[in-house]
Amino acid sequence: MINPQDMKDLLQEPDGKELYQMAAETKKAFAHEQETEIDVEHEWNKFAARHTTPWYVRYRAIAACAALFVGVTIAAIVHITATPTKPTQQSEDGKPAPTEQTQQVSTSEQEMFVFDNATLKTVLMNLAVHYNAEVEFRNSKSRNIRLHVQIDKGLSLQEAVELLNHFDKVNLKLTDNNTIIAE
Amino acid sequence: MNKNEFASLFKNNYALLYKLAFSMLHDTDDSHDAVHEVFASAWEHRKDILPETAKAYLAQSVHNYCVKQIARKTYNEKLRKLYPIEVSLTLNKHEDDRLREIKRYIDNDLPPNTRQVLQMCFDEEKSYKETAEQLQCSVAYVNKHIVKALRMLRNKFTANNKER
Repeated sequence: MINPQDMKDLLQEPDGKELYQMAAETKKAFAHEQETEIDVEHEWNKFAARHTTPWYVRYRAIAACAALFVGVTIAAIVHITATPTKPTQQSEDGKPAPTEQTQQVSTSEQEMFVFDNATLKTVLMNLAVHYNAEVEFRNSKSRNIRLHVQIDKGLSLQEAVELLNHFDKVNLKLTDNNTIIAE
Repeated sequence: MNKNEFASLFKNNYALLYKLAFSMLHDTDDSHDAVHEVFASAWEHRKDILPETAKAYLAQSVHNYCVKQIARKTYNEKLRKLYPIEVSLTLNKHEDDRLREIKRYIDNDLPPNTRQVLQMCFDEEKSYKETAEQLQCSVAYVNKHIVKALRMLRNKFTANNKER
């Protein structure tokens, strides 16, 4: 680190200001010469993740943070049915999650996953087994988001992930090596 | 400008803009931040960006961003980082050439001892005292060479500037 006192001494010279300005330019010239290896792809990926995600995805993240901040876990009581032939089940809105863990995962129906007030962790673990995928939680709080959802087993993993992403608080990504990342 | 066009604008110009930022801020993290910030604001109004002027626009933005960062520093911080005390918002078109000329002059025209002292103090950012200890000479000797080098550079480059 340059010692400021040295530079103060330099400024004491009769032409100190000019000399200091020249010193600053010399520093610039040295810095300008310095070669740095830059991984442009990496910088782009960092940038894209932070800025180029559409507003509704970011809104979802904000909504998730807000919900977690308040500390109220309200089960997302929205039934999304993947198969249009089956009628969508309606349920009462805004019902708070029960305090005790009641995860009813019924896989008895052959062609549907039915998750009733299950945590995101449970949902993803079941999907992982079915699709032979890996699950990674980037944000530990997101594990406990509770969902009511039905997923057709005939969907591809990509489609299932997209379906879950419709939930305000859920933000999933599917990587090339079949890992579901929950943020 | 759509996302793909923006991505190639980013990738084609990142290294150049980083170099520009680094020459002003001399700090790796700060320089990456500067370039990211500029692209973030460019992304916000990507619809208005014209491919033919994008590069100049980005360079000027990085320059302005760095000037603002420098202006925020206190006097002592400026001295410590060897930032100019006053910075202009105008980006000199021939800045790259000028910096290269200065470096070439340091390498070719300064006496070897003077060059060594200059390099240790300004490039390696050693204090006069550390430099003196390493060269086994006095602090006054270091100071003498610094002042000598800066006067030579000043005479060469500010005279040049006035001619232009």
